[in-house]
Amino acid sequence: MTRAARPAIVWLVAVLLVASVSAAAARGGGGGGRGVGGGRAGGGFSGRGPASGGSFGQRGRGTERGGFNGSGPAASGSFAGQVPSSGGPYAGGGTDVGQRDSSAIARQRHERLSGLGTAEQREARQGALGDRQDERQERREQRRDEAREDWQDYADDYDPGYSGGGYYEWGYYDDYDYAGAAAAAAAGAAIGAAAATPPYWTLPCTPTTVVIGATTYYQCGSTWYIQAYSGGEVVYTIVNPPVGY
Amino acid sequence: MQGSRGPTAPSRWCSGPAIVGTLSLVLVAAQAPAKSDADERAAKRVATMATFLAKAPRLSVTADCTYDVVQDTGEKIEFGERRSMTLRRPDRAHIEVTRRDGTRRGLLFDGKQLAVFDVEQKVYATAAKTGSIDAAFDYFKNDLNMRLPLSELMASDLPQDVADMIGTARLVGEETVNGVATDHVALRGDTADLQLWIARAGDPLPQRLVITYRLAGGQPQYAASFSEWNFAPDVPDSAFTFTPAAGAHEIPFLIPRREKQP
Repeated sequence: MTRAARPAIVWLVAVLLVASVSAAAARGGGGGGRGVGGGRAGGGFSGRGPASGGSFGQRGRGTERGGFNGSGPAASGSFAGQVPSSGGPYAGGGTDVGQRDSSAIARQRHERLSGLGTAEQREARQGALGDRQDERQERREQRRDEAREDWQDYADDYDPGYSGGGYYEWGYYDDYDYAGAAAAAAAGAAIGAAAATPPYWTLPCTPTTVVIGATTYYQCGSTWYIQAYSGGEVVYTIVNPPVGY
Repeated sequence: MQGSRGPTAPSRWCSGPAIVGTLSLVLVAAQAPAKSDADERAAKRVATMATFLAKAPRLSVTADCTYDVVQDTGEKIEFGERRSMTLRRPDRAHIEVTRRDGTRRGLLFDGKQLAVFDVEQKVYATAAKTGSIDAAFDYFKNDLNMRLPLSELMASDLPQDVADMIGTARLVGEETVNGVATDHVALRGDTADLQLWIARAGDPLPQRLVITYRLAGGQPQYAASFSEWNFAPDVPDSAFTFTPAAGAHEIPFLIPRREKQP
């Protein structure tokens, strides 16, 4: 390192510090206006922050129509969002948060890997995909990966229980079980590897419906589905073809 | 790096972890609050509310709920639903949900069986479960992998639940919500922060609640405004027992298998 370079580095560090402070201050305001020694209005809480303006500013980038994700941590509406180390009675809150998120991620992953997705998403993909759209897709995938890493960190840091099962295993999914009064029929229908696939939120076609016993099957091509509750929503899950089909 | 994602998020050139880490430590240290009389009052208000709700033998309430879902793009989208909840302790519950898109669903518990149904989709699922409402709700969330917002507020162990957070209670101010004079109280949890607006006169009832998932990307919030609190709802036994609608068919719960560790 030359002597001349040293002052330049000192300055660079100083600039970085100032920038970090500004960024941290801006973020602090974004978290619902938590005051950190700032304005004392409202019982010591800052009343200002990006969200307080109620302005939506510039419009976001276009999203696939009807393709919005509807589940995430906040959908759980649980405030004991952590699992006490004692494994107390409020574990539900924590596990719920993880589960909600994982089901959303499972869907994303499944859609991406299978290329199936919702009907709308398929249509969108089949449409003219210009360079810009490819680029956008790429960026989205990148953010998706980041989001996953964040959640993986979150899971690792805050609840070892989260990493159990297939919740945060990106490479594969372990397995799914059926529960409830209709479980026996479903388990009978689902025997085999097909039961290990994550659920779909919509079917990729207008299905042929077949009712056998108490179970309603939906057929798209050579793939058979039944409905089930997963994470609070009604989903479709792949099963083996019913006997005789 | 929560909250720094999204279409206009700055690049990560300034993410020196050491610098940010040191700063956070300083900020956290500066934030440690001294307990004032107002904060003591806030803590007491929360404890009184929790005890009152937990001890009610019967109750019904309507909650207008909203929640954020942060999309892959970083865009935050709000969803909403109206939840009408009726409890008869120890072992009867009736919850009806109308989402903003008009679809209706619900949950019934009669001490022997848990049932959920979707009116428009014409499907339902049932699971045998005996015991208290608390046990049934825990089973519903943990074992059946289902969603049940505000169930903690409805639980008879709410006082123990808030006990973990009550040391952090602070009075934000006296505010009027839904035409009711309330104490606005802020509490901090390990992963989520809670704000409550609790009536100052009469029964210590929450008028509004906001949960901030501060560790989740984009810090999504769940909010509920409460109305029609009733502690003597006249509800017949039949309201808690599930009868499938004509044409509805039963489906199973699908739950990820958990026992395997990576």
